[in-house]
Amino acid sequence: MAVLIIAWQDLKRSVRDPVGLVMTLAVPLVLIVAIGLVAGHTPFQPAPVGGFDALSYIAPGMALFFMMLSVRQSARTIAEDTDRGVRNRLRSAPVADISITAGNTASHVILLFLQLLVLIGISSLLYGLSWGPTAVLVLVCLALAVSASGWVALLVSLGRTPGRINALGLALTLTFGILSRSFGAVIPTTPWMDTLSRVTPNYWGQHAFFSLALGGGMTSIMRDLGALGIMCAALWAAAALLSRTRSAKGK
Amino acid sequence: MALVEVRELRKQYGSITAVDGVSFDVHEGEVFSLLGPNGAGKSTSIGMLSALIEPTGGEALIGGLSVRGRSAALRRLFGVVPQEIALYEELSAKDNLLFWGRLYGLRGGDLRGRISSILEKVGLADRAGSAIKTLSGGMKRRLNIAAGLLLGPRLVFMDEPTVGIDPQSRRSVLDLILQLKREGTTILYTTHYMAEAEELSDRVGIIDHGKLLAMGTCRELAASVGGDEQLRVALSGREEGERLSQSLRAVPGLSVKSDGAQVTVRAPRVRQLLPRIVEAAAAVRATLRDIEIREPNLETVFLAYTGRELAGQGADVPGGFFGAE
Repeated sequence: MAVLIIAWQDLKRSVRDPVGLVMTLAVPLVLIVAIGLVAGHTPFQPAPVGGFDALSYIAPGMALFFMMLSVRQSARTIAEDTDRGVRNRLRSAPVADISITAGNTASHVILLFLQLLVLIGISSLLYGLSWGPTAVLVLVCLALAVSASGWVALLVSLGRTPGRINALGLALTLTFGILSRSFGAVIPTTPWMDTLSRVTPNYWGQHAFFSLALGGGMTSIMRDLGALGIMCAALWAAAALLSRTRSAKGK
Repeated sequence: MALVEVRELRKQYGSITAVDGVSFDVHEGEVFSLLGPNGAGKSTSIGMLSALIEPTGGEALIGGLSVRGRSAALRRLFGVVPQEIALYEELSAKDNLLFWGRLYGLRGGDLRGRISSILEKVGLADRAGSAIKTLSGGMKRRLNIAAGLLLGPRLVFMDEPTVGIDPQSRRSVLDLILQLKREGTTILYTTHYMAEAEELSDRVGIIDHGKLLAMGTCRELAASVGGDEQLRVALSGREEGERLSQSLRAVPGLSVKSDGAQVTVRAPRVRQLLPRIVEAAAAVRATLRDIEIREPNLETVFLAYTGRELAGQGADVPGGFFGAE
Protein backbone atom coordinates (compact mmCIF):
# COMPACT_ATOMS: atom_id res chain seq x y z
CA MET A 1 0.00 0.00 0.00
CA ALA A 2 2.82 2.41 0.91
CA VAL A 3 4.32 1.85 -2.56
CA LEU A 4 1.09 3.03 -4.20
CA ILE A 5 0.74 6.03 -1.87
CA ILE A 6 4.31 7.17 -2.60
CA ALA A 7 4.02 6.54 -6.36
CA TRP A 8 0.70 8.41 -6.54
CA GLN A 9 2.15 11.35 -4.59
CA ASP A 10 5.13 11.55 -6.98
CA LEU A 11 2.85 11.44 -10.03
CA LYS A 12 0.70 14.24 -8.60
CA ARG A 13 3.80 16.35 -8.10
CA SER A 14 5.01 15.72 -11.65
CA VAL A 15 1.69 16.84 -13.09
CA ARG A 16 1.95 20.07 -11.06
CA ASP A 17 5.49 20.80 -12.30
CA PRO A 18 5.05 22.99 -15.39
CA VAL A 19 8.79 23.08 -16.23
CA GLY A 20 8.99 19.30 -16.12
CA LEU A 21 5.91 18.93 -18.33
CA VAL A 22 7.29 21.34 -20.91
CA MET A 23 10.68 19.57 -21.00
CA THR A 24 9.34 16.03 -21.08
CA LEU A 25 6.29 16.45 -23.33
CA ALA A 26 5.83 19.84 -24.97
CA VAL A 27 9.37 20.27 -26.35
CA PRO A 28 9.67 16.77 -27.88
CA LEU A 29 6.19 17.05 -29.38
CA VAL A 30 7.00 20.38 -30.99
CA LEU A 31 10.29 18.94 -32.33
CA ILE A 32 8.57 15.89 -33.80
CA VAL A 33 5.94 18.08 -35.45
CA ALA A 34 8.66 20.38 -36.82
CA ILE A 35 10.87 17.53 -38.11
CA GLY A 36 7.80 15.95 -39.72
CA LEU A 37 7.00 19.15 -41.57
CA VAL A 38 10.64 19.56 -42.68
CA ALA A 39 10.66 15.93 -43.88
CA GLY A 40 7.70 16.71 -46.11
CA HIS A 41 4.89 15.11 -44.11
CA THR A 42 1.46 16.65 -44.07
CA PRO A 43 -0.36 16.45 -40.76
CA PHE A 44 -3.27 14.01 -40.65
CA GLN A 45 -2.37 12.59 -44.09
CA PRO A 46 -1.25 8.95 -44.50
CA ALA A 47 2.53 8.42 -44.60
CA PRO A 48 4.11 7.84 -48.02
CA VAL A 49 3.85 4.17 -49.08
CA GLY A 50 6.91 2.14 -48.06
CA GLY A 51 8.36 5.29 -46.63
CA PHE A 52 11.05 4.79 -44.01
CA ASP A 53 11.99 8.44 -44.25
CA ALA A 54 13.86 10.98 -42.12
CA LEU A 55 11.07 11.25 -39.56
CA SER A 56 10.82 7.46 -39.21
CA TYR A 57 14.55 7.43 -38.56
CA ILE A 58 14.74 10.41 -36.23
CA ALA A 59 11.49 9.98 -34.21
CA PRO A 60 12.67 6.95 -32.17
CA GLY A 61 16.03 8.64 -31.51
CA MET A 62 14.28 11.82 -30.38
CA ALA A 63 11.91 9.87 -28.13
CA LEU A 64 14.87 8.12 -26.47
CA PHE A 65 16.86 11.35 -26.20
CA PHE A 66 13.98 12.98 -24.33
CA MET A 67 13.53 9.86 -22.24
CA MET A 68 17.09 10.39 -21.01
CA LEU A 69 16.31 14.06 -20.28
CA SER A 70 13.42 12.82 -18.15
CA VAL A 71 15.82 10.45 -16.40
CA ARG A 72 17.83 13.51 -15.39
CA GLN A 73 14.67 15.26 -14.21
CA SER A 74 13.63 12.24 -12.11
CA ALA A 75 17.08 11.91 -10.54
CA ARG A 76 17.10 15.63 -9.72
CA THR A 77 13.70 15.37 -8.04
CA ILE A 78 14.99 12.56 -5.80
CA ALA A 79 18.08 14.61 -4.90
CA GLU A 80 15.91 17.64 -4.11
CA ASP A 81 13.74 15.50 -1.86
CA THR A 82 16.87 14.29 -0.08
CA ASP A 83 18.13 17.87 0.32
CA ARG A 84 14.79 18.98 1.73
CA GLY A 85 14.78 16.16 4.27
CA VAL A 86 11.69 14.57 2.72
CA ARG A 87 13.42 11.22 2.21
CA ASN A 88 14.59 11.16 5.82
CA ARG A 89 11.07 11.95 6.97
CA LEU A 90 9.82 9.10 4.76
CA ARG A 91 12.43 6.80 6.30
CA SER A 92 11.36 7.73 9.82
CA ALA A 93 7.78 6.72 9.00
CA PRO A 94 6.78 3.08 9.55
CA VAL A 95 7.48 2.20 5.92
CA ALA A 96 10.12 -0.24 4.67
CA ASP A 97 13.03 1.32 2.76
CA ILE A 98 12.31 -0.98 -0.17
CA SER A 99 8.73 0.41 -0.35
CA ILE A 100 10.06 3.97 -0.56
CA THR A 101 12.48 3.06 -3.36
CA ALA A 102 9.80 1.01 -5.13
CA GLY A 103 7.24 3.84 -4.84
CA ASN A 104 9.64 6.43 -6.24
CA THR A 105 10.80 4.07 -9.00
CA ALA A 106 7.26 3.11 -9.97
CA SER A 107 6.30 6.74 -10.50
CA HIS A 108 9.38 7.39 -12.65
CA VAL A 109 8.82 4.24 -14.70
CA ILE A 110 5.17 5.23 -15.27
CA LEU A 111 6.18 8.75 -16.35
CA LEU A 112 8.91 7.54 -18.72
CA PHE A 113 6.57 4.91 -20.15
CA LEU A 114 3.77 7.44 -20.70
CA GLN A 115 6.20 9.89 -22.27
CA LEU A 116 7.31 7.30 -24.84
CA LEU A 117 3.71 6.25 -25.54
CA VAL A 118 2.54 9.84 -26.01
CA LEU A 119 5.38 10.66 -28.43
CA ILE A 120 4.79 7.47 -30.40
CA GLY A 121 1.02 7.98 -30.36
CA ILE A 122 1.17 11.61 -31.51
CA SER A 123 3.66 10.87 -34.32
CA SER A 124 1.44 7.99 -35.48
CA LEU A 125 -1.76 10.02 -35.35
CA LEU A 126 -0.27 13.17 -36.84
CA TYR A 127 1.94 11.75 -39.59
CA GLY A 128 0.73 8.16 -39.83
CA LEU A 129 4.12 6.75 -38.80
CA SER A 130 4.12 2.99 -38.41
CA TRP A 131 5.94 1.88 -35.28
CA GLY A 132 5.01 -1.80 -35.50
CA PRO A 133 2.61 -4.12 -33.63
CA THR A 134 1.06 -2.28 -30.68
CA ALA A 135 1.39 -4.96 -28.01
CA VAL A 136 5.12 -5.54 -28.70
CA LEU A 137 5.69 -1.80 -28.98
CA VAL A 138 4.15 -1.28 -25.55
CA LEU A 139 6.43 -4.00 -24.20
CA VAL A 140 9.50 -2.24 -25.64
CA CYS A 141 8.43 1.08 -24.11
CA LEU A 142 7.95 -0.61 -20.75
CA ALA A 143 11.36 -2.30 -20.93
CA LEU A 144 12.97 1.02 -21.82
CA ALA A 145 11.25 2.81 -18.95
CA VAL A 146 12.29 0.11 -16.48
CA SER A 147 15.91 0.09 -17.69
CA ALA A 148 15.96 3.91 -17.57
CA SER A 149 15.04 3.68 -13.88
CA GLY A 150 18.49 2.10 -13.42
CA TRP A 151 20.05 5.23 -14.88
CA VAL A 152 17.95 7.34 -12.47
CA ALA A 153 19.30 5.30 -9.54
CA LEU A 154 22.91 5.55 -10.74
CA LEU A 155 22.64 9.30 -11.40
CA VAL A 156 21.30 9.86 -7.88
CA SER A 157 24.11 7.79 -6.34
CA LEU A 158 26.82 9.42 -8.43
CA GLY A 159 25.62 13.02 -8.43
CA ARG A 160 23.85 13.24 -5.05
CA THR A 161 23.16 17.01 -5.28
CA PRO A 162 20.58 18.50 -7.68
CA GLY A 163 23.23 20.71 -9.30
CA ARG A 164 25.67 17.87 -9.96
CA ILE A 165 22.89 15.60 -11.18
CA ASN A 166 21.77 18.30 -13.59
CA ALA A 167 25.24 18.60 -15.11
CA LEU A 168 25.97 14.88 -15.09
CA GLY A 169 22.51 14.05 -16.48
CA LEU A 170 22.87 16.53 -19.32
CA ALA A 171 26.33 15.21 -20.19
CA LEU A 172 24.99 11.65 -20.14
CA THR A 173 21.95 12.54 -22.27
CA LEU A 174 24.05 14.29 -24.92
CA THR A 175 26.73 11.58 -24.95
CA PHE A 176 24.16 8.83 -25.28
CA GLY A 177 22.36 10.81 -28.00
CA ILE A 178 25.56 11.26 -30.00
CA LEU A 179 26.79 7.68 -29.51
CA SER A 180 23.49 6.17 -30.62
CA ARG A 181 22.86 8.68 -33.42
CA SER A 182 19.68 10.00 -31.84
CA PHE A 183 20.14 13.11 -33.98
CA GLY A 184 20.29 11.07 -37.20
CA ALA A 185 23.55 11.07 -39.15
CA VAL A 186 24.22 14.75 -38.39
CA ILE A 187 27.16 13.86 -36.14
CA PRO A 188 29.46 11.24 -37.71
CA THR A 189 30.41 8.28 -35.53
CA THR A 190 33.34 5.86 -35.58
CA PRO A 191 33.37 2.05 -35.09
CA TRP A 192 34.52 2.35 -31.46
CA MET A 193 31.69 4.79 -30.78
CA ASP A 194 29.26 2.28 -32.26
CA THR A 195 30.63 -0.37 -29.90
CA LEU A 196 30.44 1.99 -26.94
CA SER A 197 26.85 2.93 -27.78
CA ARG A 198 25.79 -0.54 -26.61
CA VAL A 199 25.96 0.64 -23.01
CA THR A 200 23.17 3.11 -23.75
CA PRO A 201 19.45 2.36 -23.58
CA ASN A 202 19.17 4.52 -26.72
CA TYR A 203 21.04 1.93 -28.81
CA TRP A 204 18.87 -1.01 -27.78
CA GLY A 205 15.69 1.06 -27.89
CA GLN A 206 16.38 2.36 -31.38
CA HIS A 207 17.31 -1.10 -32.55
CA ALA A 208 14.03 -2.49 -31.20
CA PHE A 209 11.95 0.35 -32.64
CA PHE A 210 13.56 0.02 -36.09
CA SER A 211 13.07 -3.77 -36.06
CA LEU A 212 9.38 -3.36 -35.29
CA ALA A 213 8.90 -0.50 -37.78
CA LEU A 214 10.48 -2.65 -40.52
CA GLY A 215 8.01 -5.46 -39.90
CA GLY A 216 9.76 -7.47 -37.19
CA GLY A 217 7.89 -9.10 -34.33
CA MET A 218 8.59 -10.28 -30.81
CA THR A 219 11.47 -12.57 -31.84
CA SER A 220 13.30 -9.70 -33.53
CA ILE A 221 13.55 -7.72 -30.29
CA MET A 222 14.36 -10.46 -27.77
CA ARG A 223 18.05 -9.53 -27.77
CA ASP A 224 17.20 -5.86 -27.18
CA LEU A 225 14.87 -6.70 -24.29
CA GLY A 226 17.51 -8.95 -22.75
CA ALA A 227 20.18 -6.26 -23.03
CA LEU A 228 17.87 -3.69 -21.42
CA GLY A 229 17.11 -6.12 -18.58
CA ILE A 230 20.79 -6.80 -17.92
CA MET A 231 21.54 -3.08 -18.07
CA CYS A 232 18.80 -2.33 -15.54
CA ALA A 233 20.02 -4.98 -13.08
CA ALA A 234 23.67 -3.88 -13.41
CA LEU A 235 22.82 -0.20 -12.91
CA TRP A 236 20.70 -0.85 -9.81
CA ALA A 237 23.43 -3.05 -8.35
CA ALA A 238 26.07 -0.37 -9.00
CA ALA A 239 23.85 2.35 -7.51
CA ALA A 240 23.12 0.28 -4.39
CA LEU A 241 26.81 -0.54 -3.91
CA LEU A 242 27.80 3.11 -4.30
CA SER A 243 25.14 4.31 -1.85
CA ARG A 244 26.08 1.68 0.72
CA THR A 245 29.79 2.54 0.48
CA ARG A 246 29.10 6.25 0.88
CA SER A 247 26.65 5.72 3.71
CA ALA A 248 29.26 3.70 5.63
CA LYS A 249 31.70 6.59 5.23
CA GLY A 250 29.05 9.05 6.41
CA LYS A 251 29.06 11.00 3.16
CA MET B 1 9.19 6.57 33.73
CA ALA B 2 11.81 6.86 30.97
CA LEU B 3 10.31 6.81 27.50
CA VAL B 4 13.74 7.19 25.92
CA GLU B 5 16.76 5.37 27.35
CA VAL B 6 20.12 6.08 25.77
CA ARG B 7 23.21 4.17 26.88
CA GLU B 8 26.74 4.83 25.61
CA LEU B 9 25.43 5.67 22.16
CA ARG B 10 28.21 6.11 19.59
CA LYS B 11 28.47 6.99 15.94
CA GLN B 12 31.74 6.76 14.10
CA TYR B 13 32.29 7.80 10.48
CA GLY B 14 35.70 6.44 9.55
CA SER B 15 38.11 8.24 11.86
CA ILE B 16 35.55 10.87 12.87
CA THR B 17 33.53 10.31 16.03
CA ALA B 18 30.25 12.21 15.62
CA VAL B 19 28.68 10.97 18.86
CA ASP B 20 30.91 9.63 21.61
CA GLY B 21 29.26 7.45 24.24
CA VAL B 22 26.23 9.58 25.03
CA SER B 23 23.87 8.42 27.82
CA PHE B 24 20.64 10.02 29.03
CA ASP B 25 16.96 9.33 29.70
CA VAL B 26 13.92 11.30 28.60
CA HIS B 27 10.93 10.86 30.87
CA GLU B 28 7.28 10.71 29.83
CA GLY B 29 5.84 14.23 29.45
CA GLU B 30 9.25 15.89 29.68
CA VAL B 31 10.94 18.35 27.32
CA PHE B 32 14.62 17.43 27.16
CA SER B 33 16.94 19.63 25.11
CA LEU B 34 20.33 18.88 23.70
CA LEU B 35 22.16 22.21 23.60
CA GLY B 36 25.36 22.67 21.66
CA PRO B 37 26.98 24.43 18.72
CA ASN B 38 26.83 23.27 15.10
CA GLY B 39 28.65 19.99 14.62
CA ALA B 40 28.32 19.05 18.32
CA GLY B 41 26.50 15.79 17.49
CA LYS B 42 22.92 16.87 18.17
CA SER B 43 21.46 15.96 14.79
CA THR B 44 23.41 12.70 14.60
CA SER B 45 22.03 11.77 18.04
CA ILE B 46 18.47 12.52 16.94
CA GLY B 47 19.15 10.70 13.66
CA MET B 48 20.10 7.56 15.59
CA LEU B 49 17.13 7.86 17.95
CA SER B 50 14.69 8.34 15.08
CA ALA B 51 16.11 5.20 13.44
CA LEU B 52 17.62 7.03 10.48
CA ILE B 53 21.25 6.38 11.35
CA GLU B 54 22.55 3.01 12.54
CA PRO B 55 24.57 3.48 15.77
CA THR B 56 28.17 2.23 15.77
CA GLY B 57 27.96 1.34 19.44
CA GLY B 58 25.78 1.54 22.53
CA GLU B 59 22.04 1.19 22.70
CA ALA B 60 18.93 3.34 22.67
CA LEU B 61 15.45 2.20 23.61
CA ILE B 62 12.21 4.04 22.90
CA GLY B 63 9.22 2.71 24.77
CA GLY B 64 11.36 -0.37 25.44
CA LEU B 65 12.06 -0.97 21.72
CA SER B 66 15.61 -0.81 20.37
CA VAL B 67 16.35 1.72 17.64
CA ARG B 68 18.51 -0.93 15.98
CA GLY B 69 16.66 -2.83 13.29
CA ARG B 70 14.34 0.12 12.63
CA SER B 71 11.13 -1.81 13.33
CA ALA B 72 7.84 -0.33 12.13
CA ALA B 73 6.47 -0.66 15.68
CA LEU B 74 9.29 1.58 16.93
CA ARG B 75 8.69 4.18 14.24
CA ARG B 76 5.01 4.38 15.17
CA LEU B 77 5.99 5.63 18.63
CA PHE B 78 7.41 8.96 17.57
CA GLY B 79 6.96 11.90 15.23
CA VAL B 80 9.88 13.71 13.67
CA VAL B 81 10.25 17.43 13.00
CA PRO B 82 13.44 17.74 10.97
CA GLN B 83 15.58 20.84 10.63
CA GLU B 84 14.66 21.11 6.95
CA ILE B 85 11.17 21.92 5.67
CA ALA B 86 10.55 18.29 4.75
CA LEU B 87 7.39 18.86 2.74
CA TYR B 88 6.39 18.68 -0.92
CA GLU B 89 6.59 22.27 -2.15
CA GLU B 90 4.33 21.72 -5.16
CA LEU B 91 1.44 20.38 -3.09
CA SER B 92 -0.96 22.10 -0.72
CA ALA B 93 -0.70 22.00 3.07
CA LYS B 94 -3.67 19.64 3.20
CA ASP B 95 -2.33 17.35 0.46
CA ASN B 96 0.98 17.09 2.31
CA LEU B 97 -0.74 16.13 5.54
CA LEU B 98 -3.00 13.67 3.70
CA PHE B 99 0.11 12.01 2.29
CA TRP B 100 1.94 11.72 5.61
CA GLY B 101 -1.24 10.57 7.36
CA ARG B 102 -1.86 7.82 4.79
CA LEU B 103 1.73 6.61 5.17
CA TYR B 104 1.00 6.11 8.87
CA GLY B 105 -2.11 4.10 7.96
CA LEU B 106 -4.68 6.79 8.73
CA ARG B 107 -7.70 6.91 6.43
CA GLY B 108 -11.04 8.59 5.76
CA GLY B 109 -12.83 10.67 8.38
CA ASP B 110 -10.24 10.01 11.07
CA LEU B 111 -7.46 11.41 8.88
CA ARG B 112 -9.50 14.40 7.73
CA GLY B 113 -10.48 15.16 11.33
CA ARG B 114 -6.86 15.02 12.50
CA ILE B 115 -5.77 17.29 9.62
CA SER B 116 -8.42 19.91 10.47
CA SER B 117 -7.51 19.77 14.12
CA ILE B 118 -3.73 20.01 13.58
CA LEU B 119 -4.08 22.84 11.04
CA GLU B 120 -6.22 24.67 13.59
CA LYS B 121 -3.60 24.06 16.27
CA VAL B 122 -0.73 25.48 14.17
CA GLY B 123 -2.90 28.39 13.01
CA LEU B 124 -2.99 27.41 9.35
CA ALA B 125 -6.61 26.29 8.94
CA ASP B 126 -7.25 29.09 6.46
CA ARG B 127 -4.21 28.09 4.36
CA ALA B 128 -5.07 24.39 4.00
CA GLY B 129 -5.44 24.66 0.22
CA SER B 130 -2.32 26.79 -0.37
CA ALA B 131 0.73 25.25 -2.03
CA ILE B 132 3.69 25.06 0.36
CA LYS B 133 5.82 27.22 -1.91
CA THR B 134 3.36 30.11 -1.42
CA LEU B 135 3.62 30.05 2.40
CA SER B 136 5.97 32.24 4.46
CA GLY B 137 9.01 30.74 6.21
CA GLY B 138 7.24 30.75 9.58
CA MET B 139 4.12 29.08 8.17
CA LYS B 140 6.26 26.38 6.55
CA ARG B 141 7.96 25.77 9.90
CA ARG B 142 4.62 25.40 11.64
CA LEU B 143 3.36 23.03 8.96
CA ASN B 144 6.61 21.07 9.24
CA ILE B 145 5.79 20.61 12.93
CA ALA B 146 2.17 19.74 12.11
CA ALA B 147 3.33 16.87 9.87
CA GLY B 148 5.32 15.47 12.79
CA LEU B 149 2.34 15.69 15.14
CA LEU B 150 -0.34 14.31 12.85
CA LEU B 151 -0.27 10.84 14.34
CA GLY B 152 -0.55 12.24 17.88
CA PRO B 153 2.73 10.58 18.91
CA ARG B 154 3.81 10.08 22.54
CA LEU B 155 7.25 11.35 21.63
CA VAL B 156 8.36 14.03 19.19
CA PHE B 157 11.93 14.59 18.00
CA MET B 158 12.47 18.23 17.09
CA ASP B 159 15.76 19.04 15.42
CA GLU B 160 16.34 22.80 15.57
CA PRO B 161 12.81 23.66 14.43
CA THR B 162 13.32 27.41 14.67
CA VAL B 163 16.45 27.70 12.53
CA GLY B 164 16.28 30.40 9.89
CA ILE B 165 13.03 32.14 10.78
CA ASP B 166 12.25 35.67 11.90
CA PRO B 167 11.73 36.44 15.62
CA GLN B 168 7.93 36.70 15.30
CA SER B 169 7.62 33.31 13.60
CA ARG B 170 10.04 31.84 16.11
CA ARG B 171 7.83 33.08 18.92
CA SER B 172 4.79 31.39 17.42
CA VAL B 173 6.73 28.12 17.00
CA LEU B 174 7.93 28.29 20.62
CA ASP B 175 4.37 28.97 21.82
CA LEU B 176 3.21 25.91 19.91
CA ILE B 177 5.90 23.78 21.57
CA LEU B 178 4.92 25.15 25.00
CA GLN B 179 1.32 24.18 24.25
CA LEU B 180 2.46 20.64 23.38
CA LYS B 181 4.41 20.57 26.63
CA ARG B 182 1.31 21.55 28.59
CA GLU B 183 -0.60 18.76 26.83
CA GLY B 184 1.96 16.26 28.08
CA THR B 185 3.82 15.45 24.85
CA THR B 186 7.34 14.16 25.43
CA ILE B 187 9.77 16.18 23.35
CA LEU B 188 13.44 15.65 22.59
CA TYR B 189 14.59 19.02 21.33
CA THR B 190 17.90 20.11 19.86
CA THR B 191 18.98 23.70 19.63
CA HIS B 192 21.93 26.02 19.73
CA TYR B 193 19.80 28.84 21.09
CA MET B 194 20.30 29.07 24.87
CA ALA B 195 17.16 31.13 25.39
CA GLU B 196 15.04 28.43 23.74
CA ALA B 197 16.59 25.68 25.83
CA GLU B 198 16.01 27.70 29.01
CA GLU B 199 12.42 28.56 28.15
CA LEU B 200 11.22 25.20 26.88
CA SER B 201 13.13 22.53 28.71
CA ASP B 202 12.55 20.62 31.89
CA ARG B 203 16.12 19.38 31.57
CA VAL B 204 19.03 20.27 29.32
CA GLY B 205 22.01 18.25 28.13
CA ILE B 206 25.13 20.20 27.12
CA ILE B 207 26.73 18.49 24.12
CA ASP B 208 29.99 19.34 22.41
CA HIS B 209 32.34 17.37 20.16
CA GLY B 210 29.96 14.40 20.39
CA LYS B 211 30.15 14.18 24.20
CA LEU B 212 27.38 14.92 26.66
CA LEU B 213 29.24 17.14 29.11
CA ALA B 214 26.52 17.90 31.63
CA MET B 215 22.83 17.31 32.15
CA GLY B 216 20.12 18.59 34.49
CA THR B 217 17.63 21.38 35.02
CA CYS B 218 18.91 24.87 34.23
CA ARG B 219 19.17 25.53 37.97
CA GLU B 220 21.11 22.32 38.58
CA LEU B 221 23.47 23.07 35.73
CA ALA B 222 24.10 26.59 37.02
CA ALA B 223 24.75 25.21 40.49
CA SER B 224 27.13 22.60 39.05
CA VAL B 225 29.50 25.33 37.86
CA GLY B 226 29.37 27.28 41.09
CA GLY B 227 26.38 29.44 40.32
CA ASP B 228 28.45 32.64 40.51
CA GLU B 229 27.00 35.88 39.25
CA GLN B 230 29.11 37.72 36.76
CA LEU B 231 29.76 41.46 36.66
CA ARG B 232 31.30 42.98 33.57
CA VAL B 233 32.75 46.48 33.74
CA ALA B 234 33.69 48.32 30.57
CA LEU B 235 36.30 51.06 31.01
CA SER B 236 37.88 53.68 28.77
CA GLY B 237 41.14 51.91 28.10
CA ARG B 238 43.39 48.90 28.68
CA GLU B 239 45.51 50.63 31.35
CA GLU B 240 42.40 51.47 33.36
CA GLY B 241 41.33 47.84 33.06
CA GLU B 242 44.65 46.62 34.40
CA ARG B 243 44.61 49.13 37.29
CA LEU B 244 41.07 48.17 38.32
CA SER B 245 41.64 44.41 38.07
CA GLN B 246 44.81 44.76 40.16
CA SER B 247 42.87 46.67 42.80
CA LEU B 248 39.98 44.17 42.85
CA ARG B 249 42.25 41.13 43.11
CA ALA B 250 43.08 42.31 46.61
CA VAL B 251 39.43 41.73 47.63
CA PRO B 252 39.01 38.20 49.05
CA GLY B 253 36.40 35.91 47.43
CA LEU B 254 36.44 37.61 44.04
CA SER B 255 37.50 35.98 40.79
CA VAL B 256 38.76 38.78 38.53
CA LYS B 257 39.59 38.55 34.82
CA SER B 258 40.87 41.43 32.74
CA ASP B 259 40.48 41.57 28.96
CA GLY B 260 41.64 44.92 27.59
CA ALA B 261 39.26 47.60 28.69
CA GLN B 262 36.85 45.05 30.14
CA VAL B 263 37.04 43.56 33.63
CA THR B 264 34.93 40.54 34.60
CA VAL B 265 34.29 39.82 38.26
CA ARG B 266 32.71 36.55 39.47
CA ALA B 267 31.30 35.98 42.93
CA PRO B 268 28.23 34.30 44.49
CA ARG B 269 26.43 37.62 45.16
CA VAL B 270 28.42 40.03 43.07
CA ARG B 271 25.70 42.72 42.93
CA GLN B 272 26.18 43.39 46.66
CA LEU B 273 29.79 44.30 45.86
CA LEU B 274 28.80 46.84 43.21
CA PRO B 275 29.33 49.96 45.43
CA ARG B 276 32.76 48.67 46.37
CA ILE B 277 33.70 48.08 42.74
CA VAL B 278 32.57 51.59 41.78
CA GLU B 279 34.66 53.00 44.65
CA ALA B 280 37.65 50.96 43.52
CA ALA B 281 37.25 52.31 39.99
CA ALA B 282 37.16 55.87 41.30
CA ALA B 283 40.21 55.20 43.44
CA VAL B 284 42.30 54.07 40.44
CA ARG B 285 40.87 56.92 38.32
CA ALA B 286 39.12 54.61 35.89
CA THR B 287 36.12 55.87 33.90
CA LEU B 288 33.18 53.46 33.95
CA ARG B 289 31.52 53.25 30.55
CA ASP B 290 29.19 50.32 31.15
CA ILE B 291 28.30 47.84 33.90
CA GLU B 292 26.45 44.58 33.27
CA ILE B 293 25.40 41.97 35.83
CA ARG B 294 24.68 38.50 34.51
CA GLU B 295 23.03 35.81 36.56
CA PRO B 296 24.29 32.27 36.04
CA ASN B 297 22.67 30.87 32.89
CA LEU B 298 23.31 28.25 30.26
CA GLU B 299 25.89 30.50 28.64
CA THR B 300 28.00 30.48 31.80
CA VAL B 301 27.41 26.75 32.12
CA PHE B 302 28.51 26.16 28.54
CA LEU B 303 31.54 28.36 29.07
CA ALA B 304 32.46 26.50 32.23
CA TYR B 305 32.19 23.04 30.63
CA THR B 306 33.71 23.77 27.22
CA GLY B 307 36.00 26.72 27.93
CA ARG B 308 34.31 28.81 25.24
CA GLU B 309 31.10 30.71 24.68
CA LEU B 310 28.20 29.17 22.80
CA ALA B 311 27.39 32.46 21.07
CA GLY B 312 29.67 32.68 18.04
CA GLN B 313 29.91 28.89 17.71
CA GLY B 314 27.07 28.77 15.20
CA ALA B 315 24.75 30.00 17.93
CA ASP B 316 23.19 33.36 18.43
CA VAL B 317 22.07 35.57 21.23
CA PRO B 318 18.51 35.20 22.54
CA GLY B 319 15.94 36.60 20.18
CA GLY B 320 18.47 37.03 17.38
CA PHE B 321 17.93 36.22 13.73
CA PHE B 322 20.32 33.97 11.90
CA GLY B 323 20.11 31.98 8.69
CA ALA B 324 19.78 28.24 8.45
CA GLU B 325 22.78 26.06 9.17
